[in-house]
Amino acid sequence: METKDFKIVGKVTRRKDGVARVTGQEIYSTDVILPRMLYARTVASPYAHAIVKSIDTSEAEAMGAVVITFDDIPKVRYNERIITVPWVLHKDRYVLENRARRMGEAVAAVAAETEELAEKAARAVKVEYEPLPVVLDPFEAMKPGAPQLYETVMYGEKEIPIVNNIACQRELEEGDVDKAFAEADIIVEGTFDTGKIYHAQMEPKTAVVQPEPNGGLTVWATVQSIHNTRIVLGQIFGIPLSKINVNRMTVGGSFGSSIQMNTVIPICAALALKARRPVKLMSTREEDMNDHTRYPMHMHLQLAAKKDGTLIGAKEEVVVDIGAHILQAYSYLGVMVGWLVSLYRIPNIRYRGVAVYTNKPPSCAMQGYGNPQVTFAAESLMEELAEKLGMDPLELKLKNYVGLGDTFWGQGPMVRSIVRSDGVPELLRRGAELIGWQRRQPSGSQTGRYRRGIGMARGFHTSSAGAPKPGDVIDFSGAMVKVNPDGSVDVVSAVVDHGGGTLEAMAKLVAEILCVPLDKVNVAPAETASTLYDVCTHATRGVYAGGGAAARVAQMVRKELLETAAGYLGVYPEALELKLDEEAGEGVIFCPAIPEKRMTVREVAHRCWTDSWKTIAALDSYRPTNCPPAYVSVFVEVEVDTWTGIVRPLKAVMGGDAGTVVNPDMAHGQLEGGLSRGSGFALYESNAWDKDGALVSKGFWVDAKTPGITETPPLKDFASYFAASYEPTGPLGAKGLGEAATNPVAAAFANAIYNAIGIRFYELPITPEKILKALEEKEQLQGAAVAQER
Amino acid sequence: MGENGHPHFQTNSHILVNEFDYYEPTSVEEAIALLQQHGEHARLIAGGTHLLVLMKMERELPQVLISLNKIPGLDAITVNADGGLTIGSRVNIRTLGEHPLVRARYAGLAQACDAFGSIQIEIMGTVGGNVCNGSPAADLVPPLLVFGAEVLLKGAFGERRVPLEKFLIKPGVTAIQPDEVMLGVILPPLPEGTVSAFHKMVRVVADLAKTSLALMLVRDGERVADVHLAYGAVAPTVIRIPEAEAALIGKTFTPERVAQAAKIASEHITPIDDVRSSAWYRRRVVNVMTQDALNALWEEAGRVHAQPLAVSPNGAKSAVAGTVIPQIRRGEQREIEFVVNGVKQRVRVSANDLLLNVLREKLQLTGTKYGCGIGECGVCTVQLDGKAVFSCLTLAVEAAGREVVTIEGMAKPDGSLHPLQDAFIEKGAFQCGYCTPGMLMTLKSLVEENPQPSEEDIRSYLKGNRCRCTGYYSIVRAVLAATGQTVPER
Repeated sequence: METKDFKIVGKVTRRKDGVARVTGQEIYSTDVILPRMLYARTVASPYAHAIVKSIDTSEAEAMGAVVITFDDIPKVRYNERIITVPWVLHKDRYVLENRARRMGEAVAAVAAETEELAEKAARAVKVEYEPLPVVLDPFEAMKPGAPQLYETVMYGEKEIPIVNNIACQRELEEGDVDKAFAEADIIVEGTFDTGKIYHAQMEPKTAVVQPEPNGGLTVWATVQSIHNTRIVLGQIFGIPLSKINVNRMTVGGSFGSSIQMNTVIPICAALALKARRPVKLMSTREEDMNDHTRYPMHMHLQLAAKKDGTLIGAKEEVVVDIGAHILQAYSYLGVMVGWLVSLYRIPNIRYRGVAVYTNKPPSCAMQGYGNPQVTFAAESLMEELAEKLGMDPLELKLKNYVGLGDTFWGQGPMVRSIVRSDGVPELLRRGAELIGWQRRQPSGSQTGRYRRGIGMARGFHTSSAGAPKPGDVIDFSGAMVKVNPDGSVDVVSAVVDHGGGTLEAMAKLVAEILCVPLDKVNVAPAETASTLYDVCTHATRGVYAGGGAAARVAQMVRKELLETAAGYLGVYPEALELKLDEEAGEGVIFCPAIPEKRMTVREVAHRCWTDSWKTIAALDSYRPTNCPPAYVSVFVEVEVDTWTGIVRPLKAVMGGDAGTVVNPDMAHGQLEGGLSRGSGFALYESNAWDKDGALVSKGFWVDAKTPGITETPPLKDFASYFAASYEPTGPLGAKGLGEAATNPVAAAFANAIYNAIGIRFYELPITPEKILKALEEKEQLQGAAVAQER
Repeated sequence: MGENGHPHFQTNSHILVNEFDYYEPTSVEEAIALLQQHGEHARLIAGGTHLLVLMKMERELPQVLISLNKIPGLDAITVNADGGLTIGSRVNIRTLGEHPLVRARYAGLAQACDAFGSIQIEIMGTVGGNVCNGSPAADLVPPLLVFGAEVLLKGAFGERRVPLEKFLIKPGVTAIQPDEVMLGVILPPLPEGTVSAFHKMVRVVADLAKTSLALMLVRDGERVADVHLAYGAVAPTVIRIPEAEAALIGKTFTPERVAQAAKIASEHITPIDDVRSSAWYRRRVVNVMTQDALNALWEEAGRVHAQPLAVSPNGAKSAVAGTVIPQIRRGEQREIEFVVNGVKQRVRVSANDLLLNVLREKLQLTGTKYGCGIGECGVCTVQLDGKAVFSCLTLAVEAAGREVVTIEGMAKPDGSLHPLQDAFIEKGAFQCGYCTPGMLMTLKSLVEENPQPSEEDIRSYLKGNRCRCTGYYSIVRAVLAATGQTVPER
């Protein structure tokens, strides 16, 4: 099928969930109210590191509350995030802890008739703590003698010791790095730091759990994977998966924050099991801010190149502060090198990564899973390299980028595939035109108070973690598609939509393939009991892999439709065609050679029903064997006030290569959102802890300053566009987009600021305070140099 | 420090944990009597945007709340015999900032109102709250200080007027006595040709100030006849810096003198390092802001000629009459009656019940969301008597006798969508949708005030509504489309 022939895919349509979302009828986990439901609160440690010596629950119980402590929970250590195969999975936590390792860690929980009563009961639980020394800095944590968070953790089914708080390490060497660096004409290097910032998803994490008469559980909760949530609950509570049913909920934003089964869910489940009543546990914003952050990065990066700009080697060292619990640190250390070698062809690479425990909130994936951090470092150094070589950065990047035919690591060293669609040249060309790249002045050449700079960065994200063979990372999806007796269609899939329109895209793909009008394709409500496994909506895989599964199954249904119609019409199925009759508003199956041999999709499905024969339906699982990169380019123009250090974004141009663009409006929305979140990462957002390990903000949303509506340039100074691109392995040519949109934004801002004032920043966010300080230091240096010359 | 006594105990911004007796006196005298009766256990409340946040943080745990909202007259702006203004303590920030006399004569004060915070906070927050909270970052205080405002207080022993600079003592502490009610502030008349301005440096829009500056200037040809400079968030209280003013007063306005005044100002402040900025940075930018502000205002003063004021001095509105509700005691509930989406509702509420939770749980109108609990995100926005307010910072009892519209009441009863709702779908102006109800309720208020808002108007009105998904562009496009305006092509 040619892209231009699509009737539904690629067209701007009104979202199916639109009316519910604009009228307040959409139900999020926070909105679930069940009959006889109790409200829960946790008892949170006021120490970032402490042993629970004793807990007295009698007063709380006297108030009528159900209380659970460490004594009430299964003694099963688990990991909230289970995309890694079980035999290499680190597991370090219990449902409730008897030793708190971060501020606010739950050591007990209560449920009562009202939230007010639960709050009182939680405060009435008397906990005696033995405070332990706190370690907050990963470098301090690695020193011998530092406070130790763990003696051991589980690795698969083995118990392994933890030494110097090092959760895991990863090393990799490919090619001959020493030779490459010896032969290099030029080496650039830098040490980069990015912050442990907050996801700031608008909906705080919530769980509602109902115990079932059969001993099972029904769950409504904020998660990106209903099936993984179910599996982890099964592991912890020893309940067969057939008795645990997790409902797919509308998620109020995620950005990775619910990539794991959230901490509130098993606590809520344990309370529900004990209370024998449904329980709701909604995080307060304070709890949510203490629950998760982005992985911060400390990276030393060196790039080696020849005079003509060819990259020949890299050395990369990374230290990651993972906070108090491990989620996916081993796989994360893999992608920290994977993103680099998938951004540019680097034949010789030496890498070492270390993940370190500290008494801070657990670090978890946040939009890009390390990619924005790596891209910030790599795209900063590429600009530096271009400047030193006297090359246009665009030329240098086009010369070295991983593109068509190159090997691409979708998810660390174990996930490799070949790039088959590549819009990068178009992205860079159009972006340069739209921003006016030729206006760009030599970096640091301007004088005067206000200086303007143009900067760009390119980036990508993997679409899924698909690969030719099984690896450490689980990645597959399932779907069922059925045609109802009236010719309408239900798509049944466990894929979670974080808001970007993933499910809308799925409906469009199915509608296109089955030639059924979009309004007759329903995305069915989903629960684990009646859907096939889907790993998670992460790794920008919703459309590519989740939609890929639906598209594959829709093709099976299409085949069955044609075969069934062939039987009714008395022709061979191969002689039939299917097309959407837009006027009639239904699909038509016809034999071009014999015009009277013709049935509509509705007629076929209806006949199958009245003949008491069958439902035309199919289901299957789909393992992507590729993980194509979705490419993005970002061009920004900024104005720096050199007297105050304030950066004003003047213009922004975002380009994307998502293969076939299924939902144009939503896709542009991804780019627009990527700019806003990326600018927050670049310029504004940070998180600070005091010496006790408490958030300075105490979890109140006063300081994690996400960009507001006035922080981005006005409409007339913003443009977004898509490259003409078709991914041969994707559903109708589509690949991912979401995370890619944020990945290069911070680097583009850093490069624009450099272009304006000639100062490179290696630490995010680039605040006015840092800019002003750097400008003063530069002036002092220049002043000293001038004085010396005299 | 909260009830549990530990510095890092867990708070709950979803509810108001603190319980209290709630009073609604109908006269200042009654309020004073209540203050005398309950002493330090009592707090006065009007807008609640500061006090309720402190209560959620459990930095304040009053046993008694005394609402000023049923006392007539406190929300008036009146012209004094001398031509100055008396601004009632319960005048809200938005009303103050839009008052024609304030905009015409006390521009610096109007600018401070514009820069205050989210629209919702500007609608809810009051002059009395901003002045009495004693914050060194309070936005209204620098302009009030440069204008030489006096605070009008009333206590058991009668009324007194305190010059604002004497009123400010230290962070969180003012000269108001435990048994006193602030009636308002008195602004003296200003000499002909006086100009003024307010500048504020923030991290992102609708934030507290890193530093702020108000200034007032009287120009006499090339000479500075008078200048006042007041700074916020750079000392334990908002401060005037007479030494910097002295470098200019009576002298010819020159770049050197401006630089000198700015340097003096930056040396006289005593800023601190905090999470919003550093002391070092604050000193640097106070210098820059002072110069920029003086230069801009000097030019403006050159353009200004004494203008006769065409506006009538009767801009004040009197209090909306509502049902007078007797007190609710802590631990008790009483029935309130109010109209929600056109339907009369009766619900039993406690004094510490928030409107947000009454809507969501008692009326099961879950379209209104909880986001941050402290008025920083906008997802809980509803209309109260037609104005956009944060329901997470509104006591349910405050809604008694009033009209609430939630997202569920935005479409017509037959289900046909409001043009904004329709445009949100048409333009893809939502992703996850969690902020959408708050966005739409805020925008409903915008288009009711301003049927053809410009892009700038839209952005200004939505400054306190956070969306993490869309990057806001599609929302702006949707509002332009809904109001029949041209939507720029992508």
